[in-house]
Amino acid sequence: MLRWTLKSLIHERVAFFIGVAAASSALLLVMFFEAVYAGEADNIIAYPRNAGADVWVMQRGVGNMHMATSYLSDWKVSEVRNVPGVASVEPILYLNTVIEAGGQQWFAYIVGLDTPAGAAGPWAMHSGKRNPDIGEAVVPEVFARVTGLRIGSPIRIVDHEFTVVGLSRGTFSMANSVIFVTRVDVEDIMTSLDIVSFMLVTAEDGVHATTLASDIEAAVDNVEALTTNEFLANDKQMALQMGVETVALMTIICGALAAFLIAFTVYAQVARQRRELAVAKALGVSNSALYLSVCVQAILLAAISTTFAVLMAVTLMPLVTAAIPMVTLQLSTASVARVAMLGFVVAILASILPARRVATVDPMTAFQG
Amino acid sequence: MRLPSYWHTTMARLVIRQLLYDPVRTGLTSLALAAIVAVILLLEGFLEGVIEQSRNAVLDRGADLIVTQAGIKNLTLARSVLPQSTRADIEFIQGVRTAHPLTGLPVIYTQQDQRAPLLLFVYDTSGGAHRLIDGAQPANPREIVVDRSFARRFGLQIGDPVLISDFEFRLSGIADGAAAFFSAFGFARYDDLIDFYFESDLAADISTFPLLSFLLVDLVEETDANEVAARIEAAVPTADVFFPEDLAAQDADLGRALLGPIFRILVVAGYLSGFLVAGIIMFAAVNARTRDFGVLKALGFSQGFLTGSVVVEALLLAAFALPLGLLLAQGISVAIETLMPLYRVPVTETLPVVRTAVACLAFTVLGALLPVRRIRGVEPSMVFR
Repeated sequence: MLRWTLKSLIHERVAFFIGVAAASSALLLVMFFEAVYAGEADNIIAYPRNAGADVWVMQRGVGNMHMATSYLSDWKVSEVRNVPGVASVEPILYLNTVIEAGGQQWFAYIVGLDTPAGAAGPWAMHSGKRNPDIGEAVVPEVFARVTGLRIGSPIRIVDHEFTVVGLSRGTFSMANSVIFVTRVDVEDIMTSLDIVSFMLVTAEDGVHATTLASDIEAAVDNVEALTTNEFLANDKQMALQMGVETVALMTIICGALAAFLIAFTVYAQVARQRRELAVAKALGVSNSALYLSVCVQAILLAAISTTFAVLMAVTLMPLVTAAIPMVTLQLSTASVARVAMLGFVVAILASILPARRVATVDPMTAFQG
Repeated sequence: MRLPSYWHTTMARLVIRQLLYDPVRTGLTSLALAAIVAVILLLEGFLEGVIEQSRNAVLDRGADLIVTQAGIKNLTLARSVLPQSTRADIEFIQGVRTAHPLTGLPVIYTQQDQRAPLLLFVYDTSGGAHRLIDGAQPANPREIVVDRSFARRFGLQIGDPVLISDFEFRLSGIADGAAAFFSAFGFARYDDLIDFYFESDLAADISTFPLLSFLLVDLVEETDANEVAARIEAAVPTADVFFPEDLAAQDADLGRALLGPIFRILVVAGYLSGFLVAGIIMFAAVNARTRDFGVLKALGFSQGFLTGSVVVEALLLAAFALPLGLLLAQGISVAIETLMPLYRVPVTETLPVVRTAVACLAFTVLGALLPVRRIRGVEPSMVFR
């Protein structure tokens, strides 16, 4: 029976291939969606992940960077510096806003640095200066490529004109690219003086980040101090939750589509094999064995479609990222596992309709002309 | 070449009989195509929804002109700070009836382990929630209105406390359509803003926070808005003036720039799926009727006639599938907007519908051409075996 199942599945190779391709494309859509959000979520937290702080200090009640605003008076920097166990404090003034470049609008993190910047500045450079001076900006290399900016190009942030002096790596995100300028410039843009948004604190050797965070909160009024891991987790949760419902929806919709396509392929297969099924029934093969055969066909089709979708994803995603540098796609093992699980559920659902068709096959048709 | 007169009627009769022969199969086929149409419409709808929400965020504030900080061209995602004296400066200008202050304050709302961004609009006489579905506009101290997506997510009901930065508001109303860029809006009164700054955790750093972000300008009747806008620009160099439609277009452009590339990839993938689906459907249809095609060939019907009948069949299926797909997409859209009101998924916008319809017809015809080789390979003599 198993041999017959396999043979009948690959008997019509073109139909089988198109069926696999159609179901794969639906599953691929799911993976694309997940990859886009995973890639973006990863890009969104690139700055806090790479900034190299042990503890992040911010306005009380904030807890993350994405879509958040945090403002503290800059005298608190000295207070944090005086907390025992603090090795260094680097303040940044941060503004998320819309900038114009290349004739388009972009949402960006504007990070105002005290220069020369330490770990708070760009962590990897493509070209140019790492430390901007007043009126200068370091922009992501991908951003420059997409917008046609070069070193020396002008860029406008709110109503201030800047000159691009450096191109950084790993700082681009569709949701918020990181642009580095001086803190003085951001103060000027915000028309606010003597303020900071976040303090990037490094701990002395042997001092645990969690302990240091608690000590800072105890010593300085109205601040939130979080270890980098807590800060990253909050930021990632914020970034993901803004797209996770969309991803879940598209997963359900595309999963349903994949189920439908596989059901259709197996249904068409069963329709073609009506006579063979009648012969099998006439020879005494039970309905349950035939159901099982249909189920196996659906599972195999789903398994092959899933594998094919994963292979296509692995092959296509780097090509898409290279062709469209704005989009970062990140395929995770968890995503592949989810799609595999979805493929299995899809197979079970897809076998219901063809199985009903099997049940209606009359063994007598085997003896008709 | 002029085709014989019976050609069209025979083909139409053949195709219709073929479709009616196995109604379950025809239904399934239409459903499969409809499903792919629905997926594409929903993907287009997600992007349209983001754009529509960002546009409405501006238009719903209700003003003849909107004044922003110089260089700021967006309402929802940009920080705009105007000097407090700007209101008086603008109300002094000829043609301006009133300038209503509006402050945009992005905050993060936290409830247990759940965090969500909330764009708090603080208003005085205009600019509050546009459509209330429950409760009332804030009238008493510390009252707040939030979008229904926010209320639903955090299980908030009228009268419930809403704690933002340790400052307790009380929910007075729930608004509909008050969200943009995956973020819900909240609306509070100006009287509470200073209290909020002083009593919340922000007190020590209050100098940093905006007291005035935008001015919603009402004009004296029968005044030339362009002239007044020019007067404001000239009198207040620290501000920019926009017609609401123009500012809305800026926010819509931002939505397109942020999400357009992602959704374009997904829509292209949807089209590719559509082509493959149509291909498999038509291939299966032709494959199941190889013998019938042999009979028709033996009866003298040409290859062109048979190919034409397959293409017409595909087009008819697409014609069934399009309204079905639209209906399916509309159903899913309603379900999404009911269950997750943060999202707007309009699927009946003319341009995306036309684009999807054309694409559906195109990939159905292309898919129908996949099995043509198979028809060509059918030997008329096979019917006698």
